[in-house]
Amino acid sequence: MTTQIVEAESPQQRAERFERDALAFVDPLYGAALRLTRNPADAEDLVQETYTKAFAAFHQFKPGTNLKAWLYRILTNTFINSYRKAQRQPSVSGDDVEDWQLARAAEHESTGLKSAEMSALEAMPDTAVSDALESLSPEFRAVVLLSDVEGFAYKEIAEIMGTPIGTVMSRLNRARAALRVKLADYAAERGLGTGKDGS
Amino acid sequence: MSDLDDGPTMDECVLAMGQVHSFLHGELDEETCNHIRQHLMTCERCLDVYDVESLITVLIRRCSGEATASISLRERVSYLHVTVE
Repeated sequence: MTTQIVEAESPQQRAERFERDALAFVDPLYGAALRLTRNPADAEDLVQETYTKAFAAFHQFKPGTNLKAWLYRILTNTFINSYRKAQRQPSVSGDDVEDWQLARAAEHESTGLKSAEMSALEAMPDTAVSDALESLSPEFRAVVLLSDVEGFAYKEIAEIMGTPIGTVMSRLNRARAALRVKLADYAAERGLGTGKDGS
Repeated sequence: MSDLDDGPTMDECVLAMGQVHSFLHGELDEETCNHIRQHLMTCERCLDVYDVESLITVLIRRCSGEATASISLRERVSYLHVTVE
């Protein structure tokens, strides 16, 4: 029924519907873009490109389904593609790498020095966390931000990233293991959490 | 610390911690959550892992503040139907 309405709608009506529904997400999308790109100019370009694509494809969007997730899907894919282009990197998702990082994460796991790790993490400056996020592959960074910051359910993230839920979960595991190693390295370099704070 | 007879088994730890992110992100049903909570109450090692993982989530959120789109960006995306043919 709604599909028929959409088919019958004039370009002008569709544009008005786009304006009414999609433009409500400018702030959250800009925030997401800023976290992905870490640069206001790039974030604005990313949001503008997202809206341009969304507007051009808006007739394909089914009213009543998740518009926010649909917009995030365009944003995330656009970011990943342009990142790859800029880096001239082959399209590797990062799913198959970082075994040494996982091994190191396991090592951390077995040290049993959790109170030291906790106090190191508590002393961690935001810039160190942002740098650690930036060091992840774009797919890994996106999955972490979509779950921890944007609060999307795994099912929605699977929709946004166009992968099965299992891939979302394994990317999250690996991304967070890699983050943990990065943060531990940062702490070790600066002696965070290694003081006499064993209490 | 090792091989306590009445302590949690390795399998229980693997089961609980294999789902630590799903637990943290509210993806599990109430029954599974209760299982994990019970395990965390009896297993200090897993509680440590859980504490570290939740702190990492806090750190990620902390470094990702709210952002507001500029007026010029808002205008640029508002008039797409004029510029896009």
